[in-house]
Amino acid sequence: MFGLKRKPTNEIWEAFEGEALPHMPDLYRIAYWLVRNKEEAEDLVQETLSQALRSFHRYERGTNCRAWMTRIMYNVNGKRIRKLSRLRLVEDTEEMIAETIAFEQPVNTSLNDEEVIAAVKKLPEAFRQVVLLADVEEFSYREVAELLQIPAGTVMSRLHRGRKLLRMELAGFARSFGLKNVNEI
Amino acid sequence: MKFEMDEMNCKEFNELVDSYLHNELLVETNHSLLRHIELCPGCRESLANHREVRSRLQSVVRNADESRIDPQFEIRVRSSLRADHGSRKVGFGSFARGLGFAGLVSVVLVAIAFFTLDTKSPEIAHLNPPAINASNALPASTDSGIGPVYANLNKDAVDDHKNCALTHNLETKPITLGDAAVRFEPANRDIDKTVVETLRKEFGTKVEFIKAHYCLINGRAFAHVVVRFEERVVSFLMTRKEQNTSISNRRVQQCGYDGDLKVACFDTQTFHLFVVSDLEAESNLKLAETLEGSVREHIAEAGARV
Repeated sequence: MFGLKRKPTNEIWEAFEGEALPHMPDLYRIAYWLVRNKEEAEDLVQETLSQALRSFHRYERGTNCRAWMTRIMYNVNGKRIRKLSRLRLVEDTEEMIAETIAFEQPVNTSLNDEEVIAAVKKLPEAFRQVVLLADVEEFSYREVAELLQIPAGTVMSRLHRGRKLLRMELAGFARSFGLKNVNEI
Repeated sequence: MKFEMDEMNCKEFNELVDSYLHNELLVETNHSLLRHIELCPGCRESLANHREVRSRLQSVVRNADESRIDPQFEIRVRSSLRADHGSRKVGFGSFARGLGFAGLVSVVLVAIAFFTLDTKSPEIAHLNPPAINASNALPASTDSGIGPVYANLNKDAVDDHKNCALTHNLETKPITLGDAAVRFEPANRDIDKTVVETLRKEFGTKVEFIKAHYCLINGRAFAHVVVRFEERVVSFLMTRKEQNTSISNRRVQQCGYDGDLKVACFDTQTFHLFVVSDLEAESNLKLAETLEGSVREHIAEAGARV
């Protein structure tokens, strides 16, 4: 009516705009790999930001805002995560993995982007989540444990196995194209 | 491969290498691992390979098109959050309840003054803005037979000219073209320089730069360059094509009008471009024709740099 409603300039909005909103592309990427669907990822990001704005007075300035919002996003998505039957996937996959090998195969890093993405997609959900959160988004093991609400030991175990699976997938791509150094180095 | 060391062997190295790269090991364990790779060329090579795989994974996933946010969505969300926050925090009802009569009168006076100033930007207040048609819709008959998709685009371009160049009535704060280049489209960077330099080369000092930014209108984001030409305000607008659009790579043409406002437009493979002003239709078209070549080059070069 007076322009005030359309143009709020209060402190919380300014702080939110400055600290939280720049992370939206990262949040979307994390959401996308969480739900693997554009529309659902957008819904998730919007709901997350809406909740984050409502709670922003509780955010402690100077701490990791991106991690704080990602925690909100995982909470928002909690019901969906519980439906993924992650435990079963983990058990099945763990049986497929050789326990410990003394020396891992080097991976040919000249693979193209599509092959790397395809390898990531082939990872079982539970492993993919920890690998992406830790290795791509660079959350600490403790932060990953909080996001996924699992013990830190489980994070480390899944990371180790997830990374190993990913390397096996990447090595598989390389082998299928006859790259010599996958097995020979 | 067993290694003759008390502190760490190759099997242990393999267990710890990723945590080392993630900086999650204790200092003592870090030292053990570093001592191990000093003496073990195989593990040294393995560490380099792990590091490279991790770096490649980060780069590929972070830059994957499929997980990149849609810029239109990002701006829509900002706008919606801001509007929502504003309505909760500074809605009229809560203001009125919280203030006495005198305070309320003050707020009304300040708000009126603010709104009045805001709608007459000093940069353009002395110009003679065209009479704006009460209806936002472009007349269907002036759509050049190009269909509803282009009619909507024209309307958005005209609305942006009205609400961002002639007045300042945007709900979402614009961002700089530099920011928009980093976050959305590289072609946004320096598009203002390309536009202004091209027009000045052709028309000299008759062209005066007013402002440039990346703004949102009707949910559509535009790189927006505003210039003054022959005492008229002219908008150059560039917006990304939506996916799967069937509109082809058009040359400059007259695209419609709204009251006194004329719209000339052209397309590249990835962008729709508009020139909007209340100049004579021929003059407006001439501006678009002048810009077409250099803007196409600018977009192509930005694409090549990606």
